[in-house]
Amino acid sequence: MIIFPFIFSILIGWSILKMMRFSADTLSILGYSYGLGLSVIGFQLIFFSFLQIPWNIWIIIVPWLPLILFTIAKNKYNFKILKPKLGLLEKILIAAILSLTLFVFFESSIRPLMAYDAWSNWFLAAKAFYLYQGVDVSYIQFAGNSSPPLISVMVSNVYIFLGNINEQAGIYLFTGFYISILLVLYGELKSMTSRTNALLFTFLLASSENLIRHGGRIDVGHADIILGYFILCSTILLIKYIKQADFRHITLFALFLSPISLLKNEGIVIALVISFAAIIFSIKNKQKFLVLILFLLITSSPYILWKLFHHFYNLPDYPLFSSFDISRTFEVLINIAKELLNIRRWNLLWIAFFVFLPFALKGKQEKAIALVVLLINLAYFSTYLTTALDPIEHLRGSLDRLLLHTAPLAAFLTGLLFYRKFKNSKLLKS
Amino acid sequence: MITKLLLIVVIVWITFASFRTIYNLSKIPREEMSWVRLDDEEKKNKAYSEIHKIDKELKKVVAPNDCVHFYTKDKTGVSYFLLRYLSYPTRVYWANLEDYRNVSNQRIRGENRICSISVSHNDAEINNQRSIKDEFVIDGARIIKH
Repeated sequence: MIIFPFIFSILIGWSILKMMRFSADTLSILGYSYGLGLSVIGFQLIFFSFLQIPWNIWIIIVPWLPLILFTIAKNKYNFKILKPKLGLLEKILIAAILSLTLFVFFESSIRPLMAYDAWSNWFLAAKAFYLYQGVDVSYIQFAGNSSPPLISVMVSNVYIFLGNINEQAGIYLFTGFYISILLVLYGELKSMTSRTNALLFTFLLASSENLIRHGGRIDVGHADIILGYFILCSTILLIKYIKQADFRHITLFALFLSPISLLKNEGIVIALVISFAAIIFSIKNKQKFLVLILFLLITSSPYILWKLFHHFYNLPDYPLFSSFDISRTFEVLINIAKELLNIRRWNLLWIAFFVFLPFALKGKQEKAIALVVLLINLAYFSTYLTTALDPIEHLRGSLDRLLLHTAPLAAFLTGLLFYRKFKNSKLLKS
Repeated sequence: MITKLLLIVVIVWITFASFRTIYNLSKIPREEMSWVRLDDEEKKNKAYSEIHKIDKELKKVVAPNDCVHFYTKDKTGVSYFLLRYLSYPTRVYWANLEDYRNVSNQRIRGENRICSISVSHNDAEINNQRSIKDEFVIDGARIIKH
């Protein structure tokens, strides 16, 4: 059953969220559960690998079974199917979102793996780890692979469940993140604005060609959509923490922040940016600063453990940086602007984001989201000033993927600001 | 004025998104049905062309724990990385990789590895001095046993 590893991951994520008494829209809980479940299984497998415990399906399932069974037993009478009254516009938007989701799913089913990074890195490592039943150091040495292991371990987890190297199931893992991004975006926008507004911006994001390509078309298998998912979730949980600084929200924020540094090499920069935003707003709100610092330190422990492992086995480093070259600034900026205006890839996502951005200054939560989006992209901008490769060639080959990291969050913020501006319109009322 | 501008931007965005959705859905009958009709083997042939054929031949001739030196004129890395993925756990090295900038690439070249198979892809020159026991040509590649 190809769907089994995904159902189990969702059950783990859902059980953790229920245990934490996390309340949110049902669809967004489903979206959160998917990534949370996959990432905690990933951490579990990496940890077992450090302990030299060979991977198998039972060591994944057994530790979680009591929690899952307990949560199901406790919540068995809590499942409700609501039938909301929908207007015509909402029905059209739902039909469009479902069509796009089915299209992406169809696309991910018809082709073998086509993405360069998937062959050269993520799926190859997944195959190697699965065959070795652990994080295989000799494979990493052979492949000259400098990437952190979490994405490949997530794919290996799917192979372990299915008992073979099922590339198609590995592809579906990425499609699952496309769907989860839409679920989280919809659920959270709905709770902060209105259902129509949430549906509208979910549709606008779902139809972005770059997200479709990474969700199921030619680019499926690149890691960037997964990074986009975790940036979206952790930043939304950050703004919830800003609003309500309690143990529950800071723990959930930490659970979604922690995987980011183990997804890709740039993940550590992103994790630092989001942590920086958390610290700034914590100081501004006079919240418990030391508690936050303690949580951020705990959050970084998987990354520190990985770095020690990396150092201990003398694994390859990320070789792309050289010295800072300010003379590239203008050329790099022009090419970034070209990408932001690339309607074929983004529709008007980035244009709308920048047009609405000045209005983010009015709200605390909006400011936090804007800060995260801008700082992450500023970090990428500086990457092109320091890259050891030809900067423009590097930029043309990578910027569309880097922008995907913040695109869901940018769509979320634009949706929030659009509603603040037009909430009195009849169309956005429901 | 500003409110109107904001509204226009979102309306244009909705228009583009709607057209994009219709265009994508129209691809199913126009472009994608050619994939649907293929079985797994045919799909790999279509997507990976000669690299898939090389991989199939290597699976017949490479012994367990042996490795392959791959020589190619494709500097993008697509041919090499695809073959390395398809052939794993057989370890394929990119023997004529020119970029020496870092240790990773030196590892990818497999300089200190002795492999009993070399593959010349797209007539790339094989520059090792080892004797040839057997060789055969398939579509787009020459496979040599040392």
